[in-house]
Amino acid sequence: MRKIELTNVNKVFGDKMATTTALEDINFSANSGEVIAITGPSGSGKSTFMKILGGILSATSGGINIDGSDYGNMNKKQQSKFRLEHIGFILQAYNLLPYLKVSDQFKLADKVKKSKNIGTETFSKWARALKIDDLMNNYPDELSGGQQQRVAILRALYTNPDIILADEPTAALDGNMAVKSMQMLQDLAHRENKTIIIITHDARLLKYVDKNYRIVDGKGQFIDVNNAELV
Amino acid sequence: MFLSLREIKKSKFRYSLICLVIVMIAYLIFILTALANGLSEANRQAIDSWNAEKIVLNSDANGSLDQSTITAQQAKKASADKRADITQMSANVQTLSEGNKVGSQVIGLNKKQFIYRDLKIVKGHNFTKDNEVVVDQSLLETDGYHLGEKVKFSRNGHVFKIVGTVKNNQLNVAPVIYATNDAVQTEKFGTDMNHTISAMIYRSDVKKAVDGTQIMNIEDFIQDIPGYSAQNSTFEFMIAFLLLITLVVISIFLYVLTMQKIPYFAVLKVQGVSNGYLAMNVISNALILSIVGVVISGLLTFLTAISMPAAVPMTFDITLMGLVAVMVIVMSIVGGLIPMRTVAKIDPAKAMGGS
Repeated sequence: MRKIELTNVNKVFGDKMATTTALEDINFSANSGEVIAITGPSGSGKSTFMKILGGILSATSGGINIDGSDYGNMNKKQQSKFRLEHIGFILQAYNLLPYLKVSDQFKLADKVKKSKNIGTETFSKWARALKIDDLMNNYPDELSGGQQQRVAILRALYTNPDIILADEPTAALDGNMAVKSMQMLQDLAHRENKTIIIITHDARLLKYVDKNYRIVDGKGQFIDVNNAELV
Repeated sequence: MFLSLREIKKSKFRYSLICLVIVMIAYLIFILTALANGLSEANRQAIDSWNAEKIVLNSDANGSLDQSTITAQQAKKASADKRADITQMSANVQTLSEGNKVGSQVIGLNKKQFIYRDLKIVKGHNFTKDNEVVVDQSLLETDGYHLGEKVKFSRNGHVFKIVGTVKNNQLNVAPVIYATNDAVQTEKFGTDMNHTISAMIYRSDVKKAVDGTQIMNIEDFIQDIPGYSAQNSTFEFMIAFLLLITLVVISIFLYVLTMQKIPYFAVLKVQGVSNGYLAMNVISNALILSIVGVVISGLLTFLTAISMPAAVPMTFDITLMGLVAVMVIVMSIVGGLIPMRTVAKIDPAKAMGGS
């Protein structure tokens, strides 16, 4: 089932005097249950693509359709509500709130989204899998980069979103934990029909994705998922 | 509230310093309010205790009791309904050995009229003879006089005996001494007294003024007490200015704190947390800080109240203090609204790096 569809999306930064085209005629689609990697060199427009997909940035032109809704034309408030209900973000810089203990990072999610979050049992299972179950009383500044990243992964999953957008989700993880996290995300996508889109430079992760969408100089295309050299 | 409480718990020192500033400002406001209230009451307590509606003074007195004389003829022509005649004299009360001089307001009363009848004697008894006086309790508590002591008002004056005390009875920030009209008139005008009184106090409406007199509402009369309005205005200005300072200080602190939190608010916005929730977080911070600040300063004010000597004219009125506390909290909330625009304008894209 088609979950996300971007049609002829363009993003141009700047004003009339000087403009930079970050994305050019992007056509992209993702189905429910798919894990898609977004690859490409630095500065190619991957993060801009992710921001537009998440409604954080507006496209200059083109259509963005998510789950049958014209997401690109929603106002900021509607997009914000849609994100809260349907999209989970795993950000590059973990971005945990420094004044909340790990357990409170999840309680905050309960405060802002009061229903349909994952249950206690699932939460405990995933926390154990990510090895953060005994870190619940720690503040972020008491955790290593890898531990913070794992907390950020679980926080993104906590609100039980249909779509997960991840920007280098395993960058701070050691090899084993990176693989384990990717397996968990892949399993989640396939088993619970979630759509997971991951920006990555890590070729090892490609075997856990279903498609690879490569962006170069603002232009994107789906390529062979096994072509790790292009990552 | 969830975020605010945890944020304050994590950054105790930072928030304690902000709270300390609020405590100091709120404490200053409370003390100034108590002082303003105390001085205001010290000017008018006696008049308030009469529960009167109107006062009739000499029309040339310009609203001043000290300058007013009502002749016996004028008094005779005036309405006698719910009326009490008073004779006022400013004098230094002193012991017989001419020591312990205290500036006082001597008020002569007619024993058949309501002010005399309604005097609330807290110690001793009401005066019945011309050589007896009832005094404000402050003369005993702070000036060293005692019940039964003999006093006089001038070197050659008559001797009076303190037979009773009344509470909270000051006029023009001086203790009131009540005696008979005859005794005060004799002290004021000499032995050839001609029954001239200072004013007629009414508990009823007086429609028509006798020639040479003027009728004033009691509240207008109080406002005309020399220095009373100016003093009150000064305190009101100071308190209003301090409330404004509270607003500015809270706004500045919360603005700086909000600026520091922009990256975290951006993350929350990425996650779909609404501007309203973030705004409530900032307002909750202001609310918690101001409530804690006001409670601590309230406790400090209470400690000040119980340790302050009676001579300091401070009155700690719970209702008034409550009102001031609410105003400090409201000012803090208004201060918390100032960074709202910054919160609303935070760009969630800032939370996401990359190109």
